[in-house]
Amino acid sequence: MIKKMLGRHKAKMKLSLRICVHCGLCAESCFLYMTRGKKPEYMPSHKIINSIGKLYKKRGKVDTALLEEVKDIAWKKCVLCTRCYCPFGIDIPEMIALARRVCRSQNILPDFDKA
Amino acid sequence: MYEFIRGPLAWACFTIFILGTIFQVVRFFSLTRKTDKVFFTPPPRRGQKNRKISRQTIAACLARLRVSIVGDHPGMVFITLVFHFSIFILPVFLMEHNMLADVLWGISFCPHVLSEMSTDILTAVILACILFFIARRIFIKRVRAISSLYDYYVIGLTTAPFVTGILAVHDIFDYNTLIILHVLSVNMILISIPFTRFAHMIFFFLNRFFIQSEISFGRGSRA
Repeated sequence: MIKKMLGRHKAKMKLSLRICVHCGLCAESCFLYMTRGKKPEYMPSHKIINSIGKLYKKRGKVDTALLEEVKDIAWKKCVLCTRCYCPFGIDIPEMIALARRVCRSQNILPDFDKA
Repeated sequence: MYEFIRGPLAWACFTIFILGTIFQVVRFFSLTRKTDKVFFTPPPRRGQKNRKISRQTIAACLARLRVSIVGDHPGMVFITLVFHFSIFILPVFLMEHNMLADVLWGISFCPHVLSEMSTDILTAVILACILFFIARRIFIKRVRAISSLYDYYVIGLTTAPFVTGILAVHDIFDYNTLIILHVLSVNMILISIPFTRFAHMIFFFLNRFFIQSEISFGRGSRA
């Protein structure tokens, strides 16, 4: 299932991951990064590398622990406000949205009722 | 050895570079689709008739820049611009490259070539920019967090032709070895451009000009 989902968007996602030069210029465009002590894990590029990037790196062979990690990034560290700026025009929200879809397909969802 | 690297190998790399670039451009258009044309005429602003550059228009431009990436990281934007322009200008306007082209094919890339002094200065500028990028990768927490060995490899490969070039020009170390390394590193960059992180050279223009977005340079007609 995950393999199928990732396969459908492989060309675009892998290309986006490839052209990201890890410059870190996207950081300030994220309001979560700015308001949560400028922690690197809130930087848009950090989020895509560690969520969708990892999923593609493992070629879809993922365990629950990784999906939980991806869930944390895709929901807690990103609200999909689509305000992120990338000098190369990489569509970061689209990548986070796919990470969310992958998690949802495995019934891994955010626990909104937990404090 | 040198003749082979400069001759057939260089041509093969150039071919891979050109075909690879064409492939990526075609792929870009197949992965994106044309959006509906938006007919939108912005309402006339006050003072629109007077198209001369006034203090207000400059202030408006500066205000726009201040809220963009230029305002956030002016140093990085300036250094990146200088670096990317320099790595294009230096090889094309270099006297030695033009002489080589003249000897081999009887052509010259450009009527004005760089003097020896300006070549050295430009190379020093490029190397200083590279040092800045490396320092940034090491010392800035957020950049360090996403840096991998591959990023350093890309920087190293970019540095190689400039270091070997300047050393060869000034006859430091063995000229023949340096010139072979120089041509080899350029060949490697050429074949890497369409398929590796260097692809940002192609996709910067495609993404920023063709994709319809708030940050696009043009109007953008694809999504």
